[in-house]
Amino acid sequence: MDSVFPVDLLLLALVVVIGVATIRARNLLASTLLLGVYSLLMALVWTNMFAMDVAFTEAAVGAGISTVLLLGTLIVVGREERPSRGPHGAALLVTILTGAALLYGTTDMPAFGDPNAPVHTDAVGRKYIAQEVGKVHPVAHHHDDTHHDEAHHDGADHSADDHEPDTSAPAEHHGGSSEIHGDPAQDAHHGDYGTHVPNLVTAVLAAYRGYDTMFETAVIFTAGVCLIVLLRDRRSPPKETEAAA
Amino acid sequence: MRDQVVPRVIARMLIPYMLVYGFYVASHGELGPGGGFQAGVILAAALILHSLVHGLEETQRGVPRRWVDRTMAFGVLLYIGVGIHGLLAGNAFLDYSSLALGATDPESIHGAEAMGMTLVETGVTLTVAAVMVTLFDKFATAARR
Repeated sequence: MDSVFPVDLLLLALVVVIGVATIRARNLLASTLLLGVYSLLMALVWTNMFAMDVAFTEAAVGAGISTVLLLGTLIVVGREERPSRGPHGAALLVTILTGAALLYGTTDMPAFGDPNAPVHTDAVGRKYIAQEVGKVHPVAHHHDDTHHDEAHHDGADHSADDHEPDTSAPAEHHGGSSEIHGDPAQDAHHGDYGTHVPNLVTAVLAAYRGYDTMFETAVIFTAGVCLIVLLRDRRSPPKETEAAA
Repeated sequence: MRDQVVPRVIARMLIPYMLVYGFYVASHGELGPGGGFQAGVILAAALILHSLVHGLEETQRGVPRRWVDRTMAFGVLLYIGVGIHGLLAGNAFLDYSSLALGATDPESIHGAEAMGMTLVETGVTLTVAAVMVTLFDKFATAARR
């Protein structure tokens, strides 16, 4: 059994408990703070899955900014929830159906860490990983690698197929960083996605899906503009020095 | 909260580090975890903490509203500007290798790619930070009425 498994189990159990507590709390302030705790726990779960960028975002946005904004909302709407009249049938049904659909969707996904997952076998994914992973200084070593590989191929034909990185790594390679061989990035710009940076997530977001990220930024900008237009101060003059704090 | 000592002292200790960390995340997005969005949120959180402790007016004396609004637009323009630079250089839109300014050796090209990503992420950082600050600003102003 994976040694991380008990930790994951504990965290996920806590997530469920906090989730239920968030819904059941009548005090909206308590609810908001529990949501923050929920996000922090989820960030830990993502960390256990080595999804650092997701964990980072969850901690910064979910536990940080969202909590502050929800607290800001609480100042406007008050702290106590109106007493409800039992569960809402239709809402419960929709929630259960959505949950069931999501769970059904996960059955089609590859197992966590599966080496045969599409992201590892798909041509684009493979090229991506080959371009980024373990290359802390891709610029400095790119040329050397090419030469080294060719030399190695010439000399090592007789020695069956032992793992190249293992035999040649420590001495000549750059500090034994795990490099994937048969590197598609080496055929210059043929099939090159122009993303020679170590963080795969940033590479995908900023280069492969650059348009996507651009329009996401535009969406955030539009939201900001709408905010200014909808919630601008109508009455107060621009120069406000009220004593209220 | 201005007359409470503990939040004020803690905020004074935290805010510089939050700002530095925000800039670090923004500039190292292509090397480690993080990127424009997270960096923007961290920077905004620093400013929001300041206005929580010292009041909105005090923050806006240092970071005026109109500059926040301009930053919001500038971030998007920076992103699109990098894309259009690629077009003007005769490459595809958002082709970062055109930032190598004519150099063709792989080192320059890869440097240009990292540079393009950093520029683009900086744009995202600025827009996200400005929008988050505006969001808090509007909420706080609405709550006060």
